[in-house]
Amino acid sequence: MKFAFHVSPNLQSPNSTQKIMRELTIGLLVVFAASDIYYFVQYGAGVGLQALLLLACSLITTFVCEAIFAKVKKKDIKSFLSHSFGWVTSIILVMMCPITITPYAVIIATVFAIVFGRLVFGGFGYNIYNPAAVGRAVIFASFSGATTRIISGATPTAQLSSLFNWLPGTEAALDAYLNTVGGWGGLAMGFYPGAIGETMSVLILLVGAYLIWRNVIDWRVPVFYLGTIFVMGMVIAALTGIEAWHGIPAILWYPLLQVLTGGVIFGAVFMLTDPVTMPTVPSGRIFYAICAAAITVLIRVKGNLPEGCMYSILIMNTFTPMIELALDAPQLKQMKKAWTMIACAAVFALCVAFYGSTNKPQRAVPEELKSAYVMETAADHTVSALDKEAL
Amino acid sequence: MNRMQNFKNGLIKDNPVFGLYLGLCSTLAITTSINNAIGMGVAVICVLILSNVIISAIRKIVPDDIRIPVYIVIIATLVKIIQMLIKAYTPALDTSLGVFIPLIVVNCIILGRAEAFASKHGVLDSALDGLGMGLGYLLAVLAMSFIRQILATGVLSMTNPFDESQVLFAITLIPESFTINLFSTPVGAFVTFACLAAALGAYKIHSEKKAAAQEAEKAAAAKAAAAAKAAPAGKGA
Repeated sequence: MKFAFHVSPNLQSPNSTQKIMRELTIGLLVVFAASDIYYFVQYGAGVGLQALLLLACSLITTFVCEAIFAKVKKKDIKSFLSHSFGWVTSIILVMMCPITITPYAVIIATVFAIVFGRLVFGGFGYNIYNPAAVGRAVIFASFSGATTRIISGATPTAQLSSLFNWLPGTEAALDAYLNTVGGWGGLAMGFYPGAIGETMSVLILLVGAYLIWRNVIDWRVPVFYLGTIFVMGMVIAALTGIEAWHGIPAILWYPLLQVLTGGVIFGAVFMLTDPVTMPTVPSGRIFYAICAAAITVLIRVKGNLPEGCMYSILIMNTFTPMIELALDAPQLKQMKKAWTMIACAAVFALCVAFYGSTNKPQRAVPEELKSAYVMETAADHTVSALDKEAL
Repeated sequence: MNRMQNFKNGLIKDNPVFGLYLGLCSTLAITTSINNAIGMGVAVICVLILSNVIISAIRKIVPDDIRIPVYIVIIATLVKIIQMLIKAYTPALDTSLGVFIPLIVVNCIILGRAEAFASKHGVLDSALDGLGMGLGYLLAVLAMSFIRQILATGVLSMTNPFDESQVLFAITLIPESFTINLFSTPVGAFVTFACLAAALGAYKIHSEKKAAAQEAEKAAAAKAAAAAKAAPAGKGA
């Protein structure tokens, strides 16, 4: 009999980093392609090509930055590029941007994401912050006004934030909002303008389920993240006393609205699960996801920003090393500590929900949407916001 | 020679901002325009030279136990004088620099130089050190405000500090739609600072390596020369 001796680790996963990244890239591209097809069909070839142009700009910038870095560091450029997976960052970055953004803004954001978000920390595997979120934050800080006016007007997510303060209180108000996105079905399928990748909720969930099945991402993070947002939505709906919608009680439709609107599903599937910036301990990941959800809802209901997903990811990335350190203990001790931490996170999320329910629900239909209400008879989707002159 | 070296060190190698990381608070806050940078830099140079000279002059009569309060009183007096002068003659600069002029009192560069240099050296040396360090600070804030102003506004401009309406020069380098607002915020200040500090660090490492290589070469040459000298002597014997 022959014994084989190995040095540890003895349990080897069949998934290599290359393979994981390949499947993640395919998943991202599927969502991107679906979204781009929607823009092609809805707004014409010009808008559809704009998304491809943005992606091309971002990818080229990424490769140029990484090639220069490899050259400076005297590494083999080809192998450095293929082992640094910069394209994943640039695809996610472009998918987080609205289609109205200028290519110049995308290029600058990519430079920041790749150079300051990633390469200065030591490249792939060493970055503290999710590089795509860093790039998006740069766009938030610098280019909020720089848009190409391809599609004018605020996106439904921004409207939900600015007109309703995330709390449409009556049936009529919710109806007015749903009109802008084409009903619940449109909201779920993503047939409304928004960030390129974040609107197609159902498709992203399907891709996410596939990636979970293939062991590319950890199921705990999206499940606990979206679950916490859902529960917090239920608490807020119950405490603010908003009305039922056509017989569906508020504690059911309101959390659904919280989850389906904005970028939380995209963030949960593709960004929070970034293996580099999330904790490695499973219980730590649950803690991480619950805290991120609480911060997201806090920014949504009480903050000035329309959407809190990206900043919640950046904030929780900061705490990842601390979570790792806290849970670096013998198994039994770790379990006990993890339970305490998760309980604390849950209490934090509940407190945020209580605090969020001090907001007043928007009961009247906002003026901005009343006109859209009338226009609705003419078009399928009211946001016929296409600026044809700009094309 | 040594004096010159002291003076030069403050400019590049031991630059107070990028080399020693002193006085960062004001550096990050005021470097939004070249006007601000020059105003702040000149104010710091004045305070630094005067405080260094005074502290160096009284260094033998100040009891060791209370030297810090004494230094602070001296520096605060000087800063108050400078602040009043700025208020009187360049009111626009006063409004744009705001609280950062009185905060020169607690600027680490000034107290640091008083502690590390002026309290141990003669008057002339201290004055030169103050000038070198002050110029180093001016150079640092100028470099940062240069980058930040161009990237954030696209225009490199400067006005006469005594008369705000008189524009000395204004060159548009980047069209308005291509400016990056980020650089007018503290985030941009941190990014600029980190890049410049990293560049100085890289330069330092590079020059140290070069010096070490030169030294090694010299040592090798000396060794070879000694060996060559020893060889014929050995033959002769």
